[in-house]
Amino acid sequence: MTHPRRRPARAAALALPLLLGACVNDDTRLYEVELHGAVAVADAFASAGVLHVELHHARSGSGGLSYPLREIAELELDNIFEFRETVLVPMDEGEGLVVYAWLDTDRDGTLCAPDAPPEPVGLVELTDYPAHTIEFDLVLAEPCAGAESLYPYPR
Amino acid sequence: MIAATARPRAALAFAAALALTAGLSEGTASAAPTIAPAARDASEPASASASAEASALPETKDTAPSGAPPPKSAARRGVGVEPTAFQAASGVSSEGRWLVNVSGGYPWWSARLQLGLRHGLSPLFEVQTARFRRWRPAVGLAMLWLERPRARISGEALFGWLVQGGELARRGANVELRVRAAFPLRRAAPYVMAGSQHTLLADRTTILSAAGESTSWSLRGEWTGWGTVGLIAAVTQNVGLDLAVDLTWVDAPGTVAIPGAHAGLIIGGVRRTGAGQRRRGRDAKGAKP
Repeated sequence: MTHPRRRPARAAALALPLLLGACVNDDTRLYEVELHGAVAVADAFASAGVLHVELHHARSGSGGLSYPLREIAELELDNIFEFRETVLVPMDEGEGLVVYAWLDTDRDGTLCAPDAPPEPVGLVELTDYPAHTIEFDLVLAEPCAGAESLYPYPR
Repeated sequence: MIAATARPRAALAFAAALALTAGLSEGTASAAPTIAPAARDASEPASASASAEASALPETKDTAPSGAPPPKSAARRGVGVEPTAFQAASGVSSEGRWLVNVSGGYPWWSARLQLGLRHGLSPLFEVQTARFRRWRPAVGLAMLWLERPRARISGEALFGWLVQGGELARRGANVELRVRAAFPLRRAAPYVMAGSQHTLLADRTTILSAAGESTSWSLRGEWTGWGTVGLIAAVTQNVGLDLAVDLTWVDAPGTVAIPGAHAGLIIGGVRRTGAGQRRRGRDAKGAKP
């Protein structure tokens, strides 16, 4: 039998979750993905530098406002071309996953700055998504291209 | 061109409002109720004109339509000694009186019911909306802090629930603190009000991992600053008109403040007391054969 003095406390303990459930504002759902990546550089480019890896949704928006590539996360890896990273992908903000990477061979933080040698870039769509573990191989073979010029793939 | 024609119209409307106020102010006390507060501070030296006016026209005399003083019981309770309009301006009703203030404008509309209790306290219920997309029903308590013949300052605390629809949907518990100052003239009361409105918003984050699903909650706040400058005019003892400009800054400081204005109608009256109802009940019983 419940002690009369404890009843208000119990009622409050029951009411609080209900109250919180009735007042959800931002409801964010994240999908945890562990990426196992292996990045290679084409022979035409220098193969040392800072590797910039960007993870994008393949598509976001709907109808006429649908557009490709919405950035989710970015990594910088110094001379590391094989990595394992865990990322949280917002489930309600887009579809699909795309990895874009470029190698900052002159370490200036800028992709293909004027008067600098061309830097290699590459992009791959992770068709295994949604999955909690995804492995991918990526070859940086294009010079100086942005992610938007590589995806959707040129016809 | 539109602005050029609209400006004189706005000026004309403003002038008309001022003329109405001035006209009301010039009305004689015997013909219409004054807005003087119920109780003058005895320690405060009154000016010659004010004291002459007070001695010639006891304030309780204004309450009855015929000019007769109100019943002693009503006078004791502070009932009927000043127009409802001034009590709306000050945010506090005297004991035994109630009022309803309904206002509309851009972007805010509101309806407020307040009831006068003892010790300068007034419980109130208020529903506020911005363009019928943001709603905030609330209950609260107003308290009279300072009462002088020409100034009245009060504070209010409101507890409510915010519901906002649309793309920036919000739902959460809401608390508002307000300070009001009203300055009575003969039949109009300019007033200023400053408010600080706080809303507690709960967010939910769900992570789907290989190990399963986990949910976490976080809280954030939304602050809304509020300022109103207005004028409430007494039309009759129990009816008043409210004209005011508002400056609100919803979800400050990440947004911009939106100026607005509203016009309102105030209706008030005297609450029936339990003793009166019992007396009427006994009278009814006694009337039976």
